[in-house]
Amino acid sequence: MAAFTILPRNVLGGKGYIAPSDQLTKGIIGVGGMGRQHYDYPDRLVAICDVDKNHLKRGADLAEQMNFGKVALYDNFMDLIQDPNVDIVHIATPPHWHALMSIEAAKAGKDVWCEKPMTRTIGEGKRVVEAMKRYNTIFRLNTWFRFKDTFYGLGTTVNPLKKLVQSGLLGWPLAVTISKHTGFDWKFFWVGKEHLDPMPVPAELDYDSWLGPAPYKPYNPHRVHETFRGYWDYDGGGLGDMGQHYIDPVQYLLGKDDESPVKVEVDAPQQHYDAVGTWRQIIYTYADGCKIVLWGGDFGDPNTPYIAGPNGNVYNNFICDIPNWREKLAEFPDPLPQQTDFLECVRTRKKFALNEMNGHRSCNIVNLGTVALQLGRTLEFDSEKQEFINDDAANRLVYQPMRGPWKL
Amino acid sequence: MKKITRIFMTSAACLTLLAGQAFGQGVLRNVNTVVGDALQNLPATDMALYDQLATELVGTGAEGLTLLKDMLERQDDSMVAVEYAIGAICAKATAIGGEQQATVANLVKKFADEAKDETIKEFMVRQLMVLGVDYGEKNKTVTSALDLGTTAATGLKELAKTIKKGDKKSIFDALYRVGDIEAAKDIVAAAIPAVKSDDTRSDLIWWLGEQKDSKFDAAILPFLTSAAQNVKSEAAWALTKTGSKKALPILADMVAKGTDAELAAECLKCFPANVADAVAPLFTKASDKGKQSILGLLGGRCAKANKDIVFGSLFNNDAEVSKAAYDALASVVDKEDLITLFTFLESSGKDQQPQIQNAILAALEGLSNAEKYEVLSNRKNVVPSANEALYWPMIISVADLAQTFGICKEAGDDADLAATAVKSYLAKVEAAKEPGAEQLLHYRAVMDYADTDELKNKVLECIGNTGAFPGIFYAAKYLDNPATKQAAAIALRKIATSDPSFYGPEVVALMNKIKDVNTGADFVYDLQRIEKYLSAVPADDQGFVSMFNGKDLSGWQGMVGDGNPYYRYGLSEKQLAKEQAAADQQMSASWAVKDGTIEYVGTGYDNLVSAKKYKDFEMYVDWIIYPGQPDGDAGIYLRSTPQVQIWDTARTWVGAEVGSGGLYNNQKTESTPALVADNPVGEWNSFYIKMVGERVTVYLNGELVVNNIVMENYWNREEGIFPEEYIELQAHGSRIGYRDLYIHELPSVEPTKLTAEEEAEGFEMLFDGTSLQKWHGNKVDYNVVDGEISVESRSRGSSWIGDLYTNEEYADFIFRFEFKLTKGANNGVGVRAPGVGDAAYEGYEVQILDHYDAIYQPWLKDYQYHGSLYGIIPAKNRDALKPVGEWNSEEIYMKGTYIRVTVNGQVVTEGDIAEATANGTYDGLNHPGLNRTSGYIGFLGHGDHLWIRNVRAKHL
Repeated sequence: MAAFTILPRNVLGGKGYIAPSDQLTKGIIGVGGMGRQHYDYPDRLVAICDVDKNHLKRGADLAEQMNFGKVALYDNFMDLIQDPNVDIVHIATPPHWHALMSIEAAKAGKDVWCEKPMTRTIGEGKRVVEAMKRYNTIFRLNTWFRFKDTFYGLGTTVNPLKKLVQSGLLGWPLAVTISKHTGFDWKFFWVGKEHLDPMPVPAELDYDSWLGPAPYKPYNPHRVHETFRGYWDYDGGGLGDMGQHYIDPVQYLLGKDDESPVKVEVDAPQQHYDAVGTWRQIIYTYADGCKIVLWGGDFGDPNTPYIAGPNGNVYNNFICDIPNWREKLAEFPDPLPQQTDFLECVRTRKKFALNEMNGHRSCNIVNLGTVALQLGRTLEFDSEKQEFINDDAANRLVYQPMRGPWKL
Repeated sequence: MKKITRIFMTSAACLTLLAGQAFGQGVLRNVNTVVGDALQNLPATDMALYDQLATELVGTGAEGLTLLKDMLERQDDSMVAVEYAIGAICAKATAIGGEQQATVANLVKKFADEAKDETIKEFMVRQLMVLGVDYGEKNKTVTSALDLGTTAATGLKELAKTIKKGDKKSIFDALYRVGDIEAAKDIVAAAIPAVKSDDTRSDLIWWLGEQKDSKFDAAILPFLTSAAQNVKSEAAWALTKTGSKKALPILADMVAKGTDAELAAECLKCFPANVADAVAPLFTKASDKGKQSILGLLGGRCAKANKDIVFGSLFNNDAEVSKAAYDALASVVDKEDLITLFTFLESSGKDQQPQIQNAILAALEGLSNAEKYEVLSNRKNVVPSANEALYWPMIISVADLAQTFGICKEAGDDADLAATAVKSYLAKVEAAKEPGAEQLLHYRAVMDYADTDELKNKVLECIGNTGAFPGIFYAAKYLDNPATKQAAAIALRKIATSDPSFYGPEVVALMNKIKDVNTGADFVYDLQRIEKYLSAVPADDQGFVSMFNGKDLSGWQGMVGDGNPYYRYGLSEKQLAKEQAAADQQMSASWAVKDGTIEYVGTGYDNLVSAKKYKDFEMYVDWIIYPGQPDGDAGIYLRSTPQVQIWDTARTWVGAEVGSGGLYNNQKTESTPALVADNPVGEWNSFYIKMVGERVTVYLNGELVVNNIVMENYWNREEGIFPEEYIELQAHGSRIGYRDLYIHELPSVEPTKLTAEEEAEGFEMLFDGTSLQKWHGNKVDYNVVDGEISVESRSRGSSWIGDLYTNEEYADFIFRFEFKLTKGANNGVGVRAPGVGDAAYEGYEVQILDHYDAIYQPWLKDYQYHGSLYGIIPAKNRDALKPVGEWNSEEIYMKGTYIRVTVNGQVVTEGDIAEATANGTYDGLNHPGLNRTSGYIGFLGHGDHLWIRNVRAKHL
């Protein structure tokens, strides 16, 4: 890992150290549970925004506790974006806002640190990619397993797996299984309720702004805050929550940062039009035959390897069944270092390791799943155009309408 | 409704059924019933059922969809089901495409147009998306092409100009947006030497490196020796990415010289070429720092061809170089180096030993653990005993569970070895992830070799994590030693609180006892947990009690006769007392208590019988077959009936390979265990046995081997199992041991009795809450639970096995029962039924249905209401049925062609079948069973959950 730091430091040479006055600043949109975690990231907090007065108050209190000094409070995210003190806009709202806010921030010349999943639809993701390019924005998606930390239940970081995969020792094509049995929990508690009684909107919440581009549906507390992931209008349940965490490193392992699967198959109970449900299996297939297999809940074979290849398999805790694999692997080069210091990227203008381009591709995998689940059938996808092939219905879910006045 | 919903055995069976028109369902179904069935079964949990229901729904066309839309507008209890149904129609119609999609799309569009309610409009618009229709969203904004202005690509001239004059950000901006990448590369490459600032130069080299184009290696190569550190670094990485052949020797040289060794070594780790061959020749002349880096690279690439360099550097004068060589050693060795490594190990200093041991294990790579174990043991056996200790850690690391246990046993006085082996054994048991009951047996076995208090505490800590009930009492034995009492207290507290069913007077006493044991830092929390546990112990249930005091056979008695209860029942009180006295005499000769174990030491077949009789219970018992006997065999008798089987699985000539735990004497129901979970002869095993009513569940060593199976009456095959009798430990001539017997008497169901009137009138009790003995057919989905027949709701889509019928046939009769429904539940009483086929047509069906449920409104046919003689005589009274969740009583009176159905005291249906069908059937369908005069009475389910109790009947 030492290699990662060598590169940018050298690029900056001796003058690379930033005085506190030059420290990069952030404004956070959405200071619920997730947004408040962004306080800990190294850019300095100068502004927060929330449409729930209680959240805003709690956010302000926390900022005070943490001695951030003067922090501007906004209830309109456009005000935060346009605040000249803000260098980097952190987006920690529910996913139905991510694309709009990312693009607005980019238009205002700000860089973006966005929560996962990157966007709620494939179409929104395409727009974000275009906008980041158009406005030369440095974008980071907030998951990190492709470059650091032990990868959930796998008992290893991703880097040695990448080395093994790129060595070709396992053969090709590969199938990667993400399931309880390989160490991943799909968090099926993020399911919605099929019927919610309309309830009065609490005084502290600007519900209309919370919904923003999402279709209008009567307020019920289960729609918002901690439980919004259970509704298709805002997210995609456990798949939406954990999908990019689990899938993005797989895309990196397989070297699929520039393409998308060409087929998605689902096995699931029928989904409700509003409330997200659970599923048994989702299988993605790439043009070259590589597969990503998701098993939900307890489903699947407990003996499934994490990575299965024609010449060998890898199980949890980096157990590989190729004889003498360590020795064989040593002959191959290590994976190249990645750009993993986002603030350095903002300064050097080099793309972050997980940016809008590869982040959009891994978010596509999540959203291919949510579309196939909602339609309950197998779908074929054009990786280039990023649309479903001859399938108007599925493509309507690629480009979903927004509630006015919002549009992309 | 029988005939309709029966279709929901999805899948092949059902499709065959449809295709074959075996019961004519295909022609019987109209739009209403298709919709109703879908509503009762959606959301489908599997894809096959979903496909089937959705296809059927699409088949109902505009009529079905309109019916559903009307229901949706009511926004009542049926709403969610209706949403699923409309969703299924839209998704399926889209998948089918063509005219069907167009029909549905037009209709949904119309619904959206006409919707007055916002929620319904939103729902319809959402469906239009599923249908692939752009609704135009007059009042909504549609995603359109992104209006971001023109994304002007950077032109080449602009690029060149920016590079020359621009600041950092504008250069990157220009590079990101560049239109013609190929031409841009040339421009950048040309600009690299020319730009003034090294910062810009390094940025440009970085960008070019990102393109991974070896065409520009030559342009970058000169900068590998740049004086500017950032330029040099970017050049090194750029050339690494392309694997430049010319850069390799330069980087190797940088490593060897020790200047920029760190940068060059990092690059070479990722360099796609044979790096070892490039750096090895430079080793001799390299600086000490360079030598370290080269050794690291050789190790990193497992450069076996260069192992001489590594071996040669082990004793280098420079300590850092020597250390680097030891670090690399494991990566370059082979089997042929083993002897050398053995010699090194035996002569090296303590600091190097772990690395040499690693290298030895690496040299053994490729062998199985068993082979490694052998090689290492062989070496250990020939070295002087002082050196044996060097081999034990390696041997233990490759030993399997049994081998590790063997080392624990043999360690003897060698305390270090014993400690290593015991700890390794504990870790291996934990890693094997066997069930807690099995882990407990392993931990108890290894406790014999845990000679120090520290080790004992480690074992106790592991035991605390098993969640295995007998572990509570085992841990308690260590409460008396001050050095182990803390660990023992924590272990028993953890187990006791791990399962809410773990209570009983002895457990409670122990939990009270450990309140005084200070368990260290978490003592306060432990105390809270103990108090919480104690306050949660039920007051009205004794819980588990010990059946064996560990010292003698109090609480047990001898076996009278051959154990047949019927024999005992035939004896007078006096005779029984006499025979019991003789049996007890025999017991003291045949059974002995040694070291907390009840052992059979006799030769015959005289079981050890509990002094107390038991009804429903759950119990734990450990057992062991002692080795050295050819016919190891025993068992546990439940309610004086043989038996939960115990035998030596090696006895394949009697079929023992199926394992222990099965209900050996069952003939009609399953007698073999689900899997072999036995431990080897000579080791302990653990049973958990639960008996409720006539059903038995057995776990052997934590594995479920008998799952709620009916136990047959061995002594009289015509009768069911005794409601109450003894528990017996079987003697079958073998030396067997039993220990740790704990039993929890469960509250048992009192059989429902006929009223005095019914008794006098000659009614027979068909289901009294205890067993389905008087019934045949589907006893899988019709389950006796808490004194009621619980009709299980099958996961929708799984095939329904069938109906439950009386054993006896009835011609003219009175049939009485009580039932309780769930929302929308559907069942029926088949009468004069042949026992095969669809009773509604092949015999008669008296409908059972929660006809109040919104999903049946408003279309339910009058002959489908609860109590109707299905399709023949409609129920006249639709209000007698109580709401969902309340018990109903019902009587069906049938004599000749006269039928009367009474629900909760109100006659709901009454009539003469002959009259009713004189001009054809009410539903206009063919009922071939109309001429039947006798048949079975049965419950006709299709997957909905309901309960039935107190079923009785009388022949007229």
